Amino acid sequence: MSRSPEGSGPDDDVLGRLLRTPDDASRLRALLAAAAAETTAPAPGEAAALAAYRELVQEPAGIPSLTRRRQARLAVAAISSVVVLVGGGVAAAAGGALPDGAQQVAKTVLGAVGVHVPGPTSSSGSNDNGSEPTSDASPTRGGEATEPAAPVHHGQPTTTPEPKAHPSTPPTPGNSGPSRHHGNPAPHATPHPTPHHGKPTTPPVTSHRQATSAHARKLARLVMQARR
Amino acid sequence: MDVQSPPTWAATLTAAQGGDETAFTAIFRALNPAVVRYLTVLCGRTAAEDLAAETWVAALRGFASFTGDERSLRAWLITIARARWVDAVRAQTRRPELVTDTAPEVVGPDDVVGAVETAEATDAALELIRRLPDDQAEVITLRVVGQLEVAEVAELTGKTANHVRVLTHRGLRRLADLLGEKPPEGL
Repeated sequence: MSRSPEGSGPDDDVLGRLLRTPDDASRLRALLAAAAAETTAPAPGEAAALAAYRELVQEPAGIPSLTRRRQARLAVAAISSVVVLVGGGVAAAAGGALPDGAQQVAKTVLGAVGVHVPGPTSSSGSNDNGSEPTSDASPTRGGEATEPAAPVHHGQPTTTPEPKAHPSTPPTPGNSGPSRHHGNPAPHATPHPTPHHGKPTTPPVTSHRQATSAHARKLARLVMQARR
Repeated sequence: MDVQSPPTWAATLTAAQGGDETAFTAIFRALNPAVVRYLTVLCGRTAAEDLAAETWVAALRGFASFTGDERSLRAWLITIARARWVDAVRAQTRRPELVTDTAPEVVGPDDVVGAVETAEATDAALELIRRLPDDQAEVITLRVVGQLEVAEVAELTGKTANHVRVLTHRGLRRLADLLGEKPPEGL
């Protein structure tokens, strides 16, 4: 018999003994037995509970379909996001709007899959070689690199002026594409002639830019290795 | 009752969770009386039936994933029932005009004693228990009707185990006094 520390509480088994002992015919025992007596009568609220239960049983067929629809919507949204991000990245690379390092990486990576993008120094915002003027010699208005101004001539030097290029075609290296510096001249954007052979040229840049390009090339190699 | 033996209970629960309406009905009929009686002691018969229905509706949300024996399910249902009752009390506090609608019926002491002597009137027994102070009535109902252990009652009511024992002791003594007899030995 384990009493409470206060000494005032009953034994934990008092109720059990009270209800189990057949000889104890006290009124209290009868009362407690009556309170806990089983019933065979239909319980009130049974119909409502069954109705709720039926709804629960019918729900599982609906829940997966809702889940599947939700998953399909999420998948479409995810794919759309990936397409937009990749497309935007390629477009930015094609427009030469990426930072130097990223531009070099994009050039290397996209060049491997046949997409030509300008190198990090190819968009100086001017076209001084005189061989490939564009209809709009100035950098993109407002500095936004959204629309390449030069036509596409992969590996073919042009000698005649051509109208503004198709917006979706990336400029060749050396063309006066949109500025990556938001209309401001680049610190090292020295104008230079471009051979237009579809190959990136090594522009006369400072040691800082060379270091950046080397870093970018190293990064590109790492990216290519990772892709393999 | 079929659902009391462990294997049968497990099979019944599994069947009910799988959509067997007969199995669910068996579980409902086995456990609902304890829920209704507990709520009856707390708030009266009429309100108890309504709250019991709400209890089952709330319980069904988690019924499919419930695991445990009959005792565990009963304790779980009573826990939900208590939460429903607390919500109802709070709602009535905010809407005092509804309090009189659920006022408990009072049965005369002579009628109660006579009914209890025949051990046939569960409602009369519950009415007598309701005459105890609220905390004593609740604890005794949980121990007797809900068949919960002291620790379970303590957890459910937020009291210490010793406090539950004290309330049980005092409640039983008072019930014995109401019935006109001395409490049993050990109390």
